[in-house]
Amino acid sequence: METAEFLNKEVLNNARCLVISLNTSGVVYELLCPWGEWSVDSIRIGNPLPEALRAVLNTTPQSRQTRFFPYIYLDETQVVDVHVSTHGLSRKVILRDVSEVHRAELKYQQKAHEVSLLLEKQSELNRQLEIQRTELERAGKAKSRFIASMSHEFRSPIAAIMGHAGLLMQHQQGAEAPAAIQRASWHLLTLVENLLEQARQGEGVTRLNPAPVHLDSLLEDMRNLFTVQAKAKGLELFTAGPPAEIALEADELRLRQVLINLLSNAVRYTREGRVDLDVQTKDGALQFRVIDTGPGIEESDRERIFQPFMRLDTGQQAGAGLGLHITRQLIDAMGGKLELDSEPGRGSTFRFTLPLGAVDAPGAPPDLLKGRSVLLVEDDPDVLAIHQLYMQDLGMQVHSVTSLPEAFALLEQQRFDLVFTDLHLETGSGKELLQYVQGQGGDSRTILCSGSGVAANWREKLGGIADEFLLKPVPPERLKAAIIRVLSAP
Amino acid sequence: MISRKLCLLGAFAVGKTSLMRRFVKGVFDERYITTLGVKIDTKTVELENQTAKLVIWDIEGADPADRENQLISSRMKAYLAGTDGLLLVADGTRPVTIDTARAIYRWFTAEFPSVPAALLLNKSDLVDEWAAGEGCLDGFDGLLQCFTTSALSGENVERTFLYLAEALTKDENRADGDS
Ligand SMILES: Nc1nc2c(ncn2[C@@H]2O[C@H](COP(=O)(O)OP(=O)(O)OP(=O)(O)O)[C@@H](O)[C@H]2O)c(=O)[nH]1
Ligand SMILES: [Mg+2]
Repeated sequence: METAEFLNKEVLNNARCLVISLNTSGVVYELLCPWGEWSVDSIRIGNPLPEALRAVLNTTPQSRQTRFFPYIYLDETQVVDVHVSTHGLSRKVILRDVSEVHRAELKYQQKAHEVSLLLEKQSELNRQLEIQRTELERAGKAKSRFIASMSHEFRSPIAAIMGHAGLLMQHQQGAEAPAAIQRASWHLLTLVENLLEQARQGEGVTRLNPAPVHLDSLLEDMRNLFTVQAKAKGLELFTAGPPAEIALEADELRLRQVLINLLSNAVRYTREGRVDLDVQTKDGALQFRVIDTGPGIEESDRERIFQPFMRLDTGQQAGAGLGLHITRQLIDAMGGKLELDSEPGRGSTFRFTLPLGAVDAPGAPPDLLKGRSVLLVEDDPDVLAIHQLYMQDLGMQVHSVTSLPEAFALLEQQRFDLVFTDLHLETGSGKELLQYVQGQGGDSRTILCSGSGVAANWREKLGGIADEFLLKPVPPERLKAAIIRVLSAP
Repeated sequence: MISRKLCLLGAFAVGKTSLMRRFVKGVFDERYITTLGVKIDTKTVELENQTAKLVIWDIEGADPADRENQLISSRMKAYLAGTDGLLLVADGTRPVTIDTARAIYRWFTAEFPSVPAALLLNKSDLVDEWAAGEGCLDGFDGLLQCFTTSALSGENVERTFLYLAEALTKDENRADGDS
């Protein structure tokens, strides 16, 4: 019994209600607090209601019997539910104090809104980040294109320097200066090629141009390139090749780049001993190994050295730091895998294997070329001079011109065994010229040569236009091999 | 003196309470204390040809995350009853609040076809974060007017309320409230 009484009292005391009776002119004439004690300062007998409650009252048409308005603020802290009822001409307003429950609900609502605002901010920031990310991506692509075009620009003059240095070497046997010029040029060319490759990979593509590779001349090139450098450091350099009839199909430029990167590292980091380039058949594939007696590479560094712009801190020479990273990616692209065996203090071996292609070994007699006529079209005077000299050295009759109109004029007058043209001429495209030659229906052979600005798959794209495609710079052996190939083909 | 009921409605935290405080009391508080329910305040204004009492209902904010059919709570509907005009408020730095205003407007014009409404793009002082651009007024056909306002600086606040008040009192046919 006592409990029930207690509960009753509690419930009623806490139900803080105020029944307000209004006369026809809206003045309070009776105030009742049926349960417990509660009053509102601004509500007094004989006065009109406070503004907020009058507004609520005015919202309720006289015709309506009752109307309910929850959560009306009387001031900053007091909140009431309002019940309006109409009996004839007099109206009653019942207030119920809900400040406490309102406060609790408000606290929750406040938190919820603050969290929502934060989430809104966050997704806005994410959106901006996304915009910046695409912006960066675009800038990155622009950078790649810039590097690529710069690299192309560099190639031509380097090719000219190398070619001339090569000729000087032939004519002044044993002279040190042209050899040094050629070494430096090769180094420069390698750096340019690496930059170019990096830019290509930045665009997410490594396109290959597989063609028969002349391993002997490749190995000879490597020997020529690095012997002097190795000697200068007191190192010995050895190359060993597979049987001569082995035929490898690969992107020669890329393969060269790989070997140059590996050999120049080996020579750079080895203080004493030797560097070996060893190429052997193994399980139907061709294995390349670059073996040095250098400091070796710690286990913990073995992954790191393949990262771009990473060099082991040996306090030695500079470089773009792209070499090994690019090397590995190129080998991957060629279907091989670069592997490293190393014993700190004893040396390192970088090795990879490439699949072997069909046999194809043209051993052409040199006098095949004697007295053969060639029309050489090239608008870069330096490159023209080099190619002309190479061809003359092979005993060919060279007619060289620097523009398409001159070339057409000569073709009108005489027949050539070989038409050798650059692709991008200031006066037009070498393609046009070769189409013209084909149109003539003669038996002239054709070689198309390009140094810059070509898509990596230009050979396929221009397929059929020429008998052979060459990418500048063209060393004499490659030039010779290509000419022999096209002139000896049935 | 004639009296007009104006309701402030929009997403939460767009500045409804701040706009009313700026207009009625001439002050601004940068703290955010959400409104749960409705705050009612009045202000007597001198219009072109008459003096009028504006009864302003600052209604709790809608949640932009709510689905469109839940945007308007039954509480809001109770408060809107008998309103003479609507001040739809959005935050010019939060595009989502303009979407909310648009959805509310769609509902409002169906429910109260003859009640004039104006749109307030508030917080115009936050120029760096301003995000209300082209096309933000699409889907507000029949809107009386759109203002950019700032409860902080006071820009356009007085002008907006008076503009709507003029529009609501020009109509002579309207019955006067408040005895
Ligand atoms: N910078 C700036 N801040 C403002 C402006 N108006 C309001 N604010 C701020 O925005 C926040 C929300 O303002 P309120 O007036 O409480 O917003 P509300 O629309 O009443 O919010 P709810 O009651 O939750 O629906 C507060 O921190 C205000 O100080 C403005 O014009 N400029
Ligand atoms: Mg508010």
